[in-house]
Amino acid sequence: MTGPPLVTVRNLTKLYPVRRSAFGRPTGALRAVDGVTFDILPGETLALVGESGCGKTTVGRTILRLVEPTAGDVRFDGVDVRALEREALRRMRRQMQLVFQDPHASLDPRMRAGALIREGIEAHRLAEGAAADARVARLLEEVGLRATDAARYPHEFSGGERQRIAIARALAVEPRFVVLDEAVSALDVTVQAHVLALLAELRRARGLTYLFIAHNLAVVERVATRVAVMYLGRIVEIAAAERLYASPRHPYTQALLSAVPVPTPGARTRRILLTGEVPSPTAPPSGCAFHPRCPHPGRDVECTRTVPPLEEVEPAQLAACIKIRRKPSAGNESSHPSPVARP
Amino acid sequence: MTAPALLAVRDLRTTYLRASGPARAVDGVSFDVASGETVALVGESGCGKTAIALSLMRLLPRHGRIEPGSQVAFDGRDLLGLDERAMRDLRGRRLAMIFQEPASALNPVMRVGEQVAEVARVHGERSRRAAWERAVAMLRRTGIADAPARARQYPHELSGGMRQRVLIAMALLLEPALVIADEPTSALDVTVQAQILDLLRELQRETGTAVLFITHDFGVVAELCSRALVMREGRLVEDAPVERLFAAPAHPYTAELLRAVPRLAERP
Repeated sequence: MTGPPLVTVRNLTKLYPVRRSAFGRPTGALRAVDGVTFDILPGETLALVGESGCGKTTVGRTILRLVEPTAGDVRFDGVDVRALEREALRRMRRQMQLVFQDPHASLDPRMRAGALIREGIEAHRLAEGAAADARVARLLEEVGLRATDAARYPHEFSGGERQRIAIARALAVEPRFVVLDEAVSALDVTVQAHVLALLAELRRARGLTYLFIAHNLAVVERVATRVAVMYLGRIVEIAAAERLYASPRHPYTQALLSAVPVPTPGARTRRILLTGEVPSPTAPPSGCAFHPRCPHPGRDVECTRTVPPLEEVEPAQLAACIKIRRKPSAGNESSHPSPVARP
Repeated sequence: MTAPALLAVRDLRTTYLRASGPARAVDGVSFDVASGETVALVGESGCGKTAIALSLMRLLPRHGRIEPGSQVAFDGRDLLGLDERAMRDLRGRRLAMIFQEPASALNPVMRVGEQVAEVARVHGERSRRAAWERAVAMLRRTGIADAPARARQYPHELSGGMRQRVLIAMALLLEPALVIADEPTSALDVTVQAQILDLLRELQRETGTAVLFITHDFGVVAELCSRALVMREGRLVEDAPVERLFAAPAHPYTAELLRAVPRLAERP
């Protein structure tokens, strides 16, 4: 995992106007994504985690330009995604695919599995006729289904099988980068384990890069090489997966990890119970958006004033909290604080 | 256990009539729940967990049917032999249910305080004012800050976590002997789930209510329950104390489920 990043995201911001006045004029804004910066390196699986409304899905959609950002910069393989015109964007989209949470909703129920997979192949003129059929058959087998399944309709498959079809459909256009938005969240655990194994296998075999958007931290630990934690539109911590799980530094990451129920009786030792719920993104708290719920003992008035920058707190671990004591700098990297943790 | 079980289910069979013919959702299930006990009912989607809950509450949809020969004793009474009127009297007072989707379980055009108060009124509280006060007090007990003001709000004005607290307040208001909780935290974010699990544990300790906790999450089973019933395709495949279930699952299906459960590496 070396070389230049495949995806670079800089100061990405997405505001949605909120209409409140009697004349329907926007009187405020929902800050869905608020100045997010990160890189995705070729071949890695970057997980974007956080609770509902934190902006993780919007980040994924903005990279694919399914949602137009309000501000900020997104580059794919060095190309400015925001500047692309229609035809260029269409060609770019071949390289970036999306798999949704609910394959029931994302697969047209009137189309057979084969036709669903074939759609992209033909739209991008990758093959036609018998050659396209052969591709469809190969893809079905690659995701663990049978070539004969091409003739069946989505409702004839189980939830896990439908998700395999959605994956085959995404891979049909030979993308380099796939956004997996809660792609296994709706599946039962045994099915989920198989689909996660399939995704890992495909990544190895095809040299794919994933952005894995999820709320379940235990699932993320199985697949991610790096993890970014979001809260109210901002990244509060980003680090290599082993590091983030072994020694989370941001108080929110710590609370989030401690909240996951442990499937071992009697194993629970301590839980950081946050008070209240995530505030509305239409009126995020001042300063550090987490400050009203923060359990950090050093929390003070400064936290309500200063927006904490995302800074290196350990080598290859960045956190946005002014109360974290930093280890003395190792030297070389401190001269230009990198926006990304390099594994 | 010398005392008779609070709930004794014997050979429960529930069928859904479908266009394709009858489908057995629950296929000969037997188990007990003792007073004050927290029992998990676990399994994957479609295994019949919810059909058991709806059978016990006698709230099956019209195309659902409990087969003759099924027996359910609750509180020393033959639950399946009760008429609808006796059943209505039991529901809420002795036997209550918490649903997964608080948004659809609440009436959207009624203030949440009224909905909690209604439970008291249906079961004999004559004074509107007294019922309201009880509702507000119960909402406060479920950790809702500023309960008198919140009680006047409508469901859509509350967050998902807060709506689930309202449902818990409704279920526990009359301190029933048994609460059936059907995936009550599955739709919630993990930090809110932690709060709700804590709340359930605390209220259960105070009231001594037994809980049949339906879930697919083995983390929740391990943290909240003392015994677990594992279901697969309408049948009970294992009934064991939670420690034993996790340490040495007797049924291969339980073992398969436990292997598949994503777990965070044990941390210091």
